[in-house]
Amino acid sequence: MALPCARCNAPLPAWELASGDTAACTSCGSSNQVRVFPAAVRSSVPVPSETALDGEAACFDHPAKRAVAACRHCGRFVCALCSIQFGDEVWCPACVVGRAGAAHRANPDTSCALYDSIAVLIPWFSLIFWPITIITGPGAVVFSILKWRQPISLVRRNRWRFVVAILTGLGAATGWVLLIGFMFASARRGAR
Amino acid sequence: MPDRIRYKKLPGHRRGIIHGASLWLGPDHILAVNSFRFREEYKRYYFRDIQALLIARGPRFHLSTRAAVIGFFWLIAFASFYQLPYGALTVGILGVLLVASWVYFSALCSCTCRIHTAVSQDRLPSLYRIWSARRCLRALEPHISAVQGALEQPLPDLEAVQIGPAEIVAEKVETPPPAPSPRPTIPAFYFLIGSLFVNALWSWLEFRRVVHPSSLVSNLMVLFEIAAAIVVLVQKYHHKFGARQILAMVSLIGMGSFFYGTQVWTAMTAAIQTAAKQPVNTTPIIGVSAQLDCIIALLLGIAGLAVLVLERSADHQQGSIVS
Repeated sequence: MALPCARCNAPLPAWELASGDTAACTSCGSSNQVRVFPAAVRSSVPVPSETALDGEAACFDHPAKRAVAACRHCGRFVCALCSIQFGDEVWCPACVVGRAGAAHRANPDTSCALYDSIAVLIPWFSLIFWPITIITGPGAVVFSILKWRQPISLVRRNRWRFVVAILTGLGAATGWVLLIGFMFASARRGAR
Repeated sequence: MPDRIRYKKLPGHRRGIIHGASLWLGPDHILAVNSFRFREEYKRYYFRDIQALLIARGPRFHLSTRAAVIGFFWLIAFASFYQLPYGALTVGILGVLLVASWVYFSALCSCTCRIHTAVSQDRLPSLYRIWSARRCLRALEPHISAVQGALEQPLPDLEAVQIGPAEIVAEKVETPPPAPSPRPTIPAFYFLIGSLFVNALWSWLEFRRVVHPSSLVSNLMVLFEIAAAIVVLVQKYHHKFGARQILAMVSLIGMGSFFYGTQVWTAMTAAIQTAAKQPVNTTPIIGVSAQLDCIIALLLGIAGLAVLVLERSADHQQGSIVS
């Protein structure tokens, strides 16, 4: 069985896997617990020939291959390799890449900027050099308000970090206002 | 805009200072989230495509944000209780126990987990403890089986089954496993461990007033430690960020935090004493900081020795298998 060790990638001994779901790697010695699913067996079944014969519809991108479907958006014929299936619909790679029509669903999010994390950490990181909190405190409030409607992480369900950032920023700003007021009051008392 | 999918959290979460990872259960797929503090990257593994899941036991020395928070609270506890009778000793023993438990769990209860599909074989960094990996596997198995069905009985000829990307597996099967590259020739890690122990000894001597506190000697030792830690960080065994690099990074962060914390503490004490119209006296802080420095350096040195012992035992094991 061509199953590599999870630690060192060396092939695991098949005789051990045949008798149970654990195998010790002969290279690194680590014990591997293995779960194999039916998809592993299905993928090793040989695929029948897909070569297009004379008169048969061929793939737009691979003229030598037999077409198996037409793109839902642009209508191009696609072979088994090019057909991208989502539910009952088939799209061609060009439409998926170009996010054409309904094919934008085939482009799920692959990354996301965490504006709420940035907002919450700005005031705290700036404490390392605290005088700049006079800028970063109000800055965190403005940034949080501006980015409030931006999509957050796929797995975060609320915007509590923005709330914390706003409260922290307001706290820093209030502190500065009080400090400046106190300094003015002290200076005025000293002048008298 | 498609409806937002509500994901359910799966067991296991890697909480790093910079890098984090977690797994989430979707309606027909697993969502692997890799976060880099201010950015998240997503990868989906559809239930119908998952060929195999592997959990391999092995050491994983990961310093999580939880461990960092515990270390921070330990520092606060030490600063608070050092004046009590046996306070420093008790908190010091607690620190040694915490480090020992971290080394134990990292060395003996950790694992590496991989997921295989027809086109990829990826490591799942969020599953690095045996118990969370097993819980995750138990949570996933019913969903994958519901989509793919049960594996045929009797089992097919597993020798003929191709798992993972064909070209990668073929390469792995045809070529013998690569010989491990030699350990770095510059023994910077030994210098780092040595300097940590020397630093601990010097701080202890300073605290006991056997030697006069000398900023020149302390600064030279810190400089030596920083240089050794940077060289260790630059060296990567097997091009991986291993336990040595983690220890070097922890040493650098620890030294920086300790220096910054001492300065802030001294300044705050002086400010409070001035406000209370008392004479400024920061001498006790020097004693406490020497004690703290001694304990931190000692713990890091012991952790370094543990890393060396574990590496030696792993090398010995590998050598015996090869021979």
